[in-house]
Amino acid sequence: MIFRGFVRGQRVGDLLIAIVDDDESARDATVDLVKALGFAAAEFDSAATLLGSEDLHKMDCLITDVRMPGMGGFELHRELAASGFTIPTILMTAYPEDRIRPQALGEGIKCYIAKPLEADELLSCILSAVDHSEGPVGKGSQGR
Amino acid sequence: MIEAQGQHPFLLSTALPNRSQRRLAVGIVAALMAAMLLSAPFARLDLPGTEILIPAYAAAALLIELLTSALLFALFSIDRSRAILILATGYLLSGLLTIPWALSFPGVFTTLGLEPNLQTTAGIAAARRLGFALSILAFTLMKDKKNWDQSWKSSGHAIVGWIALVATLTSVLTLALVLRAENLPAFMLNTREVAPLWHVVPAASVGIYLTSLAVLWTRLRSTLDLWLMVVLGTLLIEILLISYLGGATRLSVGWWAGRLFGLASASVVLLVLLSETTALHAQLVRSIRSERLARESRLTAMEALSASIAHEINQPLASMVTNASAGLRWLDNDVPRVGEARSALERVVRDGHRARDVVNGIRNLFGTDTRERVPIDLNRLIEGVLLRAEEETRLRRVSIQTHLEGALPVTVNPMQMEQVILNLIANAVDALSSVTDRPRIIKVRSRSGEGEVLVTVEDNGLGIASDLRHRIFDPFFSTKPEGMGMGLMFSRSIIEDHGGRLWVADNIPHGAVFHLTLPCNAVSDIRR
Repeated sequence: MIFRGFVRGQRVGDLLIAIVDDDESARDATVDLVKALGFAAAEFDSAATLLGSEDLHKMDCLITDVRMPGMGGFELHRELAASGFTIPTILMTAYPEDRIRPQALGEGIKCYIAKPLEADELLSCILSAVDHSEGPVGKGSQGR
Repeated sequence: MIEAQGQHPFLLSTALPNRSQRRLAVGIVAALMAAMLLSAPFARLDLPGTEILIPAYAAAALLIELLTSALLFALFSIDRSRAILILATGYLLSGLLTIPWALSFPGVFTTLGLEPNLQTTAGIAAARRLGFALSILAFTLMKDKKNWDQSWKSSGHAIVGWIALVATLTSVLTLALVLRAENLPAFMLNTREVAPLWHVVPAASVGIYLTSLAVLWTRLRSTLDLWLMVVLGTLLIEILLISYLGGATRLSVGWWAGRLFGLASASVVLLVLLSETTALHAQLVRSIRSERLARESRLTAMEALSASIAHEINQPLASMVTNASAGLRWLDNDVPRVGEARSALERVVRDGHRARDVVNGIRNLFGTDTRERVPIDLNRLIEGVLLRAEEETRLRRVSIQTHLEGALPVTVNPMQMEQVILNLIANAVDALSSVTDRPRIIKVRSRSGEGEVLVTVEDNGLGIASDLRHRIFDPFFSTKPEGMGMGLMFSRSIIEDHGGRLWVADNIPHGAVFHLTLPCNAVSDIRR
């Protein structure tokens, strides 16, 4: 079952999802799953690569690994929030902890999900993330 | 038997004497000989009236011999050797007999109205001297035999039994010697001088002492043996002074000198035994502590290693699941996207290979080729494992009974199979640690059946609760507070890898019994 339709007036195929993961095979898999779910995806091998990207402002949603060398997922989210880019963020981790979840959601993270990623769970996470976001979804749609 | 000697380095009966101990022993004997030579010219001098010192001497001798016997009984409770038990009994008998000996000594307790027959004291002295000499001889002849006493429920019962026996024997002997004194052979002419018959006793004693000394000299194995040689040397000097140099006359200088030298030497030996026991105990505590530390750090290293292995395997597994989900999504499209699904599947294959590489890497890390199999006799392997476990089982007061039938030819990886057997034994020993009301027994049996061999390891511990039985082979499941929960899982996977089975059943009336089967080969395959 593929989601077909529009989110806040925008076609899902036009939604650009940033995927940040230092592990190449995990990143490839996530990118492909996101594409299979009908979104466009851009991949980054570290938080720094994303922050340095010219396309940063085009991202409608961010899916990032929690544990990465250098800057982790949490720090990336805080860094973005501090610099004014409120990209709706989904954290994924192979080591989910129940006591971290409320803390993450409290900081404005949209979803805190466990690896391996479940297709339906990821889809509903992305959809709710971009739907409730007041950030780039509306603005970005005018440009494309 | 180098291995056997290396075991139990913490017991007097098994620790090898070192150079300084030997030097001290020689020193004590030399000092005694010098003292004997010094007192020899005056040996026949009479010291009348010195009877009043007898109670003091007897009390000291009693105390020293009781303490020595207590030390030896304690040693027996760990060592479980019958030879030690006999020696402890000899000391106890000798100690207890000093009581009636002093009480009946002519002219000592007259104020209490004790005036027994002239022969009674001599009879007691003969029983004491010969009984003790025989116990030492018995020890020297039995000490190297592996006759662990397993007939008793516990060493405590054995000790209480023997003490009761010796106490009864002492009382009966004393009563008989007092009441039937007139039937006794004439050991004494008067209260001071011995009759010719008495000379049999010191002569027989000297004979037994020399025999024991000769045996100990040729089979000097332990610290205890060394100090027993000193004891025998002392006894020889004592009896030379009393019965020969002192003219066998009571209360002569020689008579007293022999006794006092004997007492001094016995105290030194007791002190040395005590201090060595304490030193060995301290050494044991240290080694247990370092062993525990080593185990803890090993566990920490294991945990770290397990965590990193888990991470390394988890990564490709997670990617495989995600890729497979993506592949399914591509196929679920209105127009199935076969090309995308195909590349998702290719990534699944790639990740699968990555996981395999991690596993192979771990296998190489441990260096051994677990696939290597050699034909062996399983019973020899079991015996080897039991020999290695012997120290642990004896210290934990577990007796192992084996019924290993003939030769059991199997083709196995010997190192893995040793691990399995050792693991089953170690589990059985642990299962017995809380058992106090019955002897702790592990029975290891083996036999060959139709095309397979069967090994069973049974304990009479508390058994395994039925609701836990199906879980004990699960990874990370343990009933022990410090258990990793890996032993039985590894054991079962090793056995199944060898084409066998491993399962558990209840032991009747107590405990659990593990069954292990392996495919059997023809007898001719055993590599000699």
